[in-house]
Amino acid sequence: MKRTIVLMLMVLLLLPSLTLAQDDRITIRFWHIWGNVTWLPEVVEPAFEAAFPQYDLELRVLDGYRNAYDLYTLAQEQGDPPELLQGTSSNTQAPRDSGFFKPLHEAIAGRAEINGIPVRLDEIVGPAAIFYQLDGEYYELPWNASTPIVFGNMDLLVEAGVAADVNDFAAIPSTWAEVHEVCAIIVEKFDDVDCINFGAGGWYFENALAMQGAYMANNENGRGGDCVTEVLFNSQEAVDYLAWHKSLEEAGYWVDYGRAEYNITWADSKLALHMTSSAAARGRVEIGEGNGFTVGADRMPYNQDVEYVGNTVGGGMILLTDGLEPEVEEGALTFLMYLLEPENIANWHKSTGYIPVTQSGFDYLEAEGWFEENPTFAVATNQLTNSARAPQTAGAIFGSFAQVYQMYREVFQNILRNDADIQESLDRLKAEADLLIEEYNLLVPCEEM
Amino acid sequence: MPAFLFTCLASALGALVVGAVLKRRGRGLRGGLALGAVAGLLGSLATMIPLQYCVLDPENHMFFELSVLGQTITVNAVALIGFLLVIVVAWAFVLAIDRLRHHWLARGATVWKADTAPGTFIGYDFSPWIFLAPTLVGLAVFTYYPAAQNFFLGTQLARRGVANTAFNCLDNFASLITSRLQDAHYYILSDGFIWHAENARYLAVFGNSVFFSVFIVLVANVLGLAIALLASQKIRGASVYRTLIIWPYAISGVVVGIVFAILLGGGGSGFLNQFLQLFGAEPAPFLSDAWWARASVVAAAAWNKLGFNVLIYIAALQAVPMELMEAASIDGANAWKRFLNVTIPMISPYIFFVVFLNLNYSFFDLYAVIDNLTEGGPVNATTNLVVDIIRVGVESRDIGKAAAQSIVLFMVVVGLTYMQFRVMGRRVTYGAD
Repeated sequence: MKRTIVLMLMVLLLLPSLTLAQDDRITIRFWHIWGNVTWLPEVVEPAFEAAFPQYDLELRVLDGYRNAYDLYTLAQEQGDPPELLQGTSSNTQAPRDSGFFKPLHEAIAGRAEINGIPVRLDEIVGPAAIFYQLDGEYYELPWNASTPIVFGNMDLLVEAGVAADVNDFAAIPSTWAEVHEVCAIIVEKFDDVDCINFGAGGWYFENALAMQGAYMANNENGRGGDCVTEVLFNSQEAVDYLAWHKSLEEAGYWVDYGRAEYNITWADSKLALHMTSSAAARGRVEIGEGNGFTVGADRMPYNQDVEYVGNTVGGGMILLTDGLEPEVEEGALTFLMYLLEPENIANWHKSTGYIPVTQSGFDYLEAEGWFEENPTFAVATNQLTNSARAPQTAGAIFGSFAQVYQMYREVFQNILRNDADIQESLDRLKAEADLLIEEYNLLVPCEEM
Repeated sequence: MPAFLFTCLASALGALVVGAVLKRRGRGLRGGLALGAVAGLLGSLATMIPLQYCVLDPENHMFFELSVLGQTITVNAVALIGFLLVIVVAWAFVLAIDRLRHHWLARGATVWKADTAPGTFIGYDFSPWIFLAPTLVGLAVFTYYPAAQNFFLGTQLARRGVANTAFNCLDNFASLITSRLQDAHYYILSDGFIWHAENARYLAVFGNSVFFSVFIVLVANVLGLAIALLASQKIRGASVYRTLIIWPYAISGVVVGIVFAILLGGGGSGFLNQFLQLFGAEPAPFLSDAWWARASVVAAAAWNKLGFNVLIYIAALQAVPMELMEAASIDGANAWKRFLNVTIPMISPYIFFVVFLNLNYSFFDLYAVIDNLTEGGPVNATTNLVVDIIRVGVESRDIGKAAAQSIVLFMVVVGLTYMQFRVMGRRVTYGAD
């Protein structure tokens, strides 16, 4: 009996080492935030591991960009970071300054292919290229790129007499004035339907400035050679945008929902227009299908009194950890290039609504006739294609961007809820943001950036 | 030279103040002067050497305006905080030196007594320290060292994820009372205000913490005691009722926040609003109006703590001797008078215990409830000290300022605890004798 127990214990002790001995694959850990996209674990992971049996891809889902970067920082501090991390467009410079990551162009080092997969960075479409590049180089992998668009409940718009039929997407308002006109009709027609909802957050504000050709920060949004030393949030264009937003709120056209409430309201056909990320296309359309109404989409409304310049890309990128063993770095790079394969770009777009970031991915979808069949999914790409390639539409780049981004909500809510003066609030926002930039530049001097 | 003058001044001031205080208490003037001078000297050195005497540097200035009885003066916040810090540290030295002196005298007495009391250790006994060592080492590594680091961090300009840091004197503390956006104004007994501050965001956050603490303690204790009085009645199925009443205590703050968010959700979609609308009432802005949102946080937190309070109060009520109640009844006291004059004094240690725990909870542990219920909104209306520390330190990665805020919170809790023990200690009745 004793001998049996001892033998069993020995087997138990040896078992893990036997398992380890069998699995000599190189582990590539990728921390991302797309917990709701089943395509990654169900399709990409097995397909990648089948194509490259020497690699073991480990996906870990985290709750939001901020949380992901926090946990990654912690992992770095503990000396065991994952090989790949999803980052966000609102926190680009600080990770670059952190020393945690290796610039993608350095890792690729001019090679045309990695592990037999072509390097397709030169195929990145124009609007994404200007956003993701700095001095003509890619520091991270352009991946989940989107832009704000307006989704419309077409059945409600038809019922209100705004749209001729459910395919009349042009009836969705595309200027600030049109939003007022359409909302007046909606509110008049229905007692229990809200006209429009969108976040009082930074992304719409940034796009509103870009659309009017205004800079967010000095030194050409930090892309003109010198780093940003002040933000330009109190410009006339900024005041005009918030005045428009405030006028919608005062008229009762814009309604603020908390948390997931807008999903319920959208599903119940109690909301006519919803401006949000184009990455929400799949979710919006599926809710419409499940509840028996057609979902249309159109561009983000612009200021009709000013010449339209263009929208900016938002979303994220994938960052490569620095200091990896060469064979591990090669594996991580292989996975990044694998993601840029046309079929993967196309499937990623279909699963979410993020724009196809490569031309070959776009062509793949077009050849399939995808955009003709699903016009809602074409709006974002069209909006970005029609945008000027300018520093204004490339977005600002400075180290304390993430902190400044956090401040938007507080200031805008104060304007919308507490009737705070717009110009004064923006002056304060600028003053606070400038202080954060000054502090950051003190810690990370400009020449080191 | 300014550093030398500052140290001399601190020492002289210490001597004067402590000398005067001890003289008023009937202790010797000379001893008081010496104690004050030493404490002032040590206090200023212990504070200013780590700070490199930066508060004396004319470059370090962050001003705010103070109006007292109509007179407005401009105050240098950095210098003011530095001065307050010296006072606090010097006072700690006064208490420590005084305690050591007492200890020394008492030790002398013990040694003298040892001649006549067999079995008493002569000399110092180290054995308790050996037994305490494992705990002390753990505390030192995981509590005291990080706490000391936090003090250091409070004087740094530091961003999480950025390797460089820079010493910035007491700016992180000063920025809490000055405004980084516009001049901060404090009105005391002037312009019709007893106390009013403008453009000082941190004070509003501080006010929220005080508001939550007062009302959560009040609601959770008054309701807790009332329910305990009902639940301790001898009725059929009492244990079932008691279990049902106590179970909210077993729920984590996260779940409480989510449950109340579903219950009170704005825009008419919350259960409570749906219910109100059945009767034709307008939906209430439970989470979108500042005061409603504060009340919602109080309700959620008090509900969470209610079960615990009821549990303790039921036990407390059972410990009240029946003979006292009977004696009071015979003396003609009605139920209310018996409750006021017998029950309350008898359960006062329990009240003290529960109030203390609830107060700590509302100052320290409210994050999960607030984050899941209101996220600190609308427009910071429900942001308390802890939520703000997380916001500044984690969300904005400004760990220097977050450290400064956590030191302020630490001071508040130390002060509260000290006050509680002093005030309650005198009024609490322990036991019947």
